[in-house]
Amino acid sequence: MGKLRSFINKRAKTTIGMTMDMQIKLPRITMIGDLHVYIENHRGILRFTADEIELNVSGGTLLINGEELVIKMLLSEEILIEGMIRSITNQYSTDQSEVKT
Amino acid sequence: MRRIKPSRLKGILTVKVYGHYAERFFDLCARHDITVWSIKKLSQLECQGDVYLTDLRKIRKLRRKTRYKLSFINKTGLPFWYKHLKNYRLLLTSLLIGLVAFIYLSQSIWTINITGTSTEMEAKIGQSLADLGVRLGKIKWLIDSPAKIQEQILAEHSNLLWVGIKQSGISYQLEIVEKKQIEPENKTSNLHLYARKDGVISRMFVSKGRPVVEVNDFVRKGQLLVTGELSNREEETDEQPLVNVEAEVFATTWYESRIQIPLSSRSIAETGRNNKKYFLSLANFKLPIWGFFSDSYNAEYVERSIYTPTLFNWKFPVSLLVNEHKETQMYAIKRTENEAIQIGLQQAKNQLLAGLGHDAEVVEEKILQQTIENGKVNIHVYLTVTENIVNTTESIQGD
Repeated sequence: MGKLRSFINKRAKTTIGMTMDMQIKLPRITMIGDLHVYIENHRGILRFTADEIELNVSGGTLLINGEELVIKMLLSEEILIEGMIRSITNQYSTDQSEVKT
Repeated sequence: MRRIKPSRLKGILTVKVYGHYAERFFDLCARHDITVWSIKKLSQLECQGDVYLTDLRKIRKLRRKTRYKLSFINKTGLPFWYKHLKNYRLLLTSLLIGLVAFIYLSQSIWTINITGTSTEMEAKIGQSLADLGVRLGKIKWLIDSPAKIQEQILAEHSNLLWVGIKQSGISYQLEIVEKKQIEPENKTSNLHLYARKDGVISRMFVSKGRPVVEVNDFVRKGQLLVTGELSNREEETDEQPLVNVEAEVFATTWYESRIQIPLSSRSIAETGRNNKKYFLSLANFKLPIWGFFSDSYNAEYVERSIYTPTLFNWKFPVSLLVNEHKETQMYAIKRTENEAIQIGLQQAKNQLLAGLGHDAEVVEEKILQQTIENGKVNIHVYLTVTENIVNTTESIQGD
């Protein structure tokens, strides 16, 4: 599915104009109430506890706060988080390699 | 958004990772195309997640490059169940053997009862039953249907009038009615023989009695042919004892017959290609279980057979239905006029001979008239037949 998506993205790049998120792989976040967060184009988990998940994304990190967080599914570019989600914070940083907690 | 539906067929491992930032190990897995789901943080240092058993090798390879410690805390799915089953192999095998033995014992014949005849005949019939495959310990499904066996036994033993076969549970019951042997003394005593039909006598065999007609005589129906009075003197008839007459009198008789044969007709024949479709049927519901993709035929003839397993007197509600689809093809038959006439003649002869006795014979055939109308050949045939015209039934006695 991830492969298919990237294939379609590539095709889209050549045929029709592209949206920004596809071009520079910005994260796409889908939230269902406070139950689920689905994030595409993430670049790895930095930190994961039951209350907090920090994800690496292009141009910074993404901090998800909540309770009883569980990663329901983990693929190389997609992640599905379940639990009571309180907040999602975007942390921009110029230096992507180091993240403060 | 899509979610993984873990397949239980593949075997699922729950892995516990121990180490600093244990979740990063799963992240590493995801990067190497290993699907991980249900990741939970158990404590500061421990993290658990589910992976497929098939990915285990890749995970081990990855782990060697890191400092994490892995432990497997749960195993579910078919491969593990299968392993688990291996521990119970002996029990399962014995259960299976027991089941097979039970089915065999309950589905085979253990007693054969033959009633209605002498012990000698019983032995003979038992022998022919054995030849037909009905033996002690034989599974019921493998033997022919009772109707077939009935037929075979009747064909084999000419002195049997009727055979009734009842299959109930493990017993096979044969009820036999023997033919009453007719004593030669009780044979119809004919004192006189009369003609059954008009005809010209062609040959006579009189073994007992005195013929009153001769070869080449024309006789009418009901005419006296052979008499039991050995002497023809009138005055002695009162005292003279009559003998039983035995004679065969063959006479030439004539028949007319009108037959109509179409010049073209159609006939259906099987091409030999066939396929079977299997269903499990419960009442009116049919569940196909085999033969979904076999090719279908334009014209076909479906032969359906139903197998219902029975246990003692109890019938399974589910039965196996086998539909055999046989491909058929329509053949158009075109006949020339000559062929049609030949067929018509043969048909006329067969029809006639079927109605006459077995010793009747067609001597001559003559087509009186033939016309073609509406694609049909009408023929009017005149057949000359020799047949036994002695009246064997006793109903007509005298004239």
